[in-house]
Amino acid sequence: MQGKYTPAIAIGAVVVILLFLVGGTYNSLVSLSQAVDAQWGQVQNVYERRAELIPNLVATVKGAANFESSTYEAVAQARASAGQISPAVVQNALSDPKAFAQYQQAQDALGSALTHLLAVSENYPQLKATQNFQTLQAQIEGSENRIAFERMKYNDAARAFNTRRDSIPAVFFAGFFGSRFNEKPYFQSQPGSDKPPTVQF
Amino acid sequence: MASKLGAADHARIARAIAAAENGTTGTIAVRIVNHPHLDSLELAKREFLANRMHDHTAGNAALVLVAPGARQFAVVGDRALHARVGDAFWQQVTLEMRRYFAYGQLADGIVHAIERVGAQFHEHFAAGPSA
Amino acid sequence: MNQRAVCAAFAVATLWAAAGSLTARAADFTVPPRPQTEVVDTAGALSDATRTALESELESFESATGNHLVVYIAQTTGNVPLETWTAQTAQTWRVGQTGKDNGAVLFLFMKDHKVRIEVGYGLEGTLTDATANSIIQGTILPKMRGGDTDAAVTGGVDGMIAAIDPSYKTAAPPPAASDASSDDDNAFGMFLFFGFVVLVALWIVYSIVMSIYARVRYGYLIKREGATAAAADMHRSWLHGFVFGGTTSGFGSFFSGGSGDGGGGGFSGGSFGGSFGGGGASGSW
Repeated sequence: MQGKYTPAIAIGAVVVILLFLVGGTYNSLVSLSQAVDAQWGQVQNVYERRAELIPNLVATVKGAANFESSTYEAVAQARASAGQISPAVVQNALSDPKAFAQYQQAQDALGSALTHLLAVSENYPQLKATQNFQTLQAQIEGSENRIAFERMKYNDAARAFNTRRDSIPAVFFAGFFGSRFNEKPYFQSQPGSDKPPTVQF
Repeated sequence: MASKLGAADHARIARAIAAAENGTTGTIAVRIVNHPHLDSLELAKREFLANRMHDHTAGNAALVLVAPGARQFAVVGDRALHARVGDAFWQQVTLEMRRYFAYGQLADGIVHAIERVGAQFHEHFAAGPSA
Repeated sequence: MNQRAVCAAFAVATLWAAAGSLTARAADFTVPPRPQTEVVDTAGALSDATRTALESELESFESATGNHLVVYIAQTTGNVPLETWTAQTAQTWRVGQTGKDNGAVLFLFMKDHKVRIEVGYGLEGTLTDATANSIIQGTILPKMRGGDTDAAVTGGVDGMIAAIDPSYKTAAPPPAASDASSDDDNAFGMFLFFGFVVLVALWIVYSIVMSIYARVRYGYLIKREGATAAAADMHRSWLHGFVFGGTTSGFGSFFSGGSGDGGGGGFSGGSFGGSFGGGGASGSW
């Protein structure tokens, strides 16, 4: 009777080991994914803080004599465009690469419009001398810095997740859980390097 | 968590003590305690007595006590030493040691304290030509 | 958005990214070691008197309020953009208390002619970007342009302290420093009193001490010769002293000493462990 149950036990042991392995990997994927989500929330926070500064900035700049209106109107328009992306889309952005790219593109556009406005304001020394403008400028520059910082931390978190996900054994079964464990998108530092699909000269 | 001291750390600390004591009349001991049940300063004083450090004729012995498990430490010095260095010195040294200890660098903190006390030995308690 | 705007946006975004933002975790530079003092001046820009005064001021500020401020002066950040260098350095050092994130660093780069205040998460409410900027523009840069580094850094530190805790009086002398000469008489009297009190206390407590000793018999002693087991020696020497009366003479020459923060140093937590989020302000002169 010795050998009768041995194969069953052996298979059972292998199955148990596999379950532990898979379970452990699953858990670490979950926690890494949550870290990415948390950091994504941080990124959105700093983007929102920047957006909140803009009405005040536009109003201040409008008041300056002869300030080139196209500059601040571009900022206001970029802000509106960024705001048009619905919150639902933003929440889903981590599992939808197109939505993510769209979100980044809109925010980067706003960032560059702001950079342009601050550059133009160098030509208006009276405006620059006002306390109000200096405060706003410091706040805008600070929020740009924070955005860059949180984006860097997000990329680190996303890299940690993606590396785990694409390693053995996670890579074998990550796809079984639907879109939960899709690879996380990264913030691109050189958006111009992607071929923009709609540019035509 | 506090880190442990290994044999290499013991040797390093012993060397630092030798360097601090050479050419001076002072003496330093380091007491590592695993289970302090009392306030570390009181314990340090008791250890100072127990090891007969008060018998040191120049009256300038110093004891560094570290209790890694309880994350406590204390430094005590005999009367002649304290008369020279004052309260400010002890506060300063413990502040500096705390910085090392906050990151588990026990050996570094202890060696730093020994060097500081050693500097005071060299300044105030240099041995006479006969030593 | 029309296609031209998109194209222009891409072009400018590239310029913006290249202008020194943190999006690329590019430059692998070596973060300098965590500062052991409140003022680190690798460029020798400050006079000794100023450095000492600032160190004691920042230490008292830390003891009094827990906020950990550091001044770091170097020559240059090299190829690395200023904000990248300072943000990564401050975050790696983790200046400030864990959980409270109440650290801030004033960075000064003499060769680059740049200054930046890095503010931890916990202090962003009081030392805001705008405040940091006004300290830099209003105090630090004018004095740096005038060539007075000591006044610039002192003014900057005072401004930071005032912003974080307006009720803190920077003029108050740090508690650690004391006028040595006037305290000598006091100290001597205290030694005698202290020695007497401990003498009496130890005399009374001896039997209790003996029983506690047994539990204390773990650990070891390190002297110049190396590490030795202390427990057995202690026990024997105590017994020897008691039997032969040697211990009594031990009380004659007594000691005083100190440990951190009034009675035993605890080093759990310390003042490192804080986190930074990229807040602060920069300037150049």
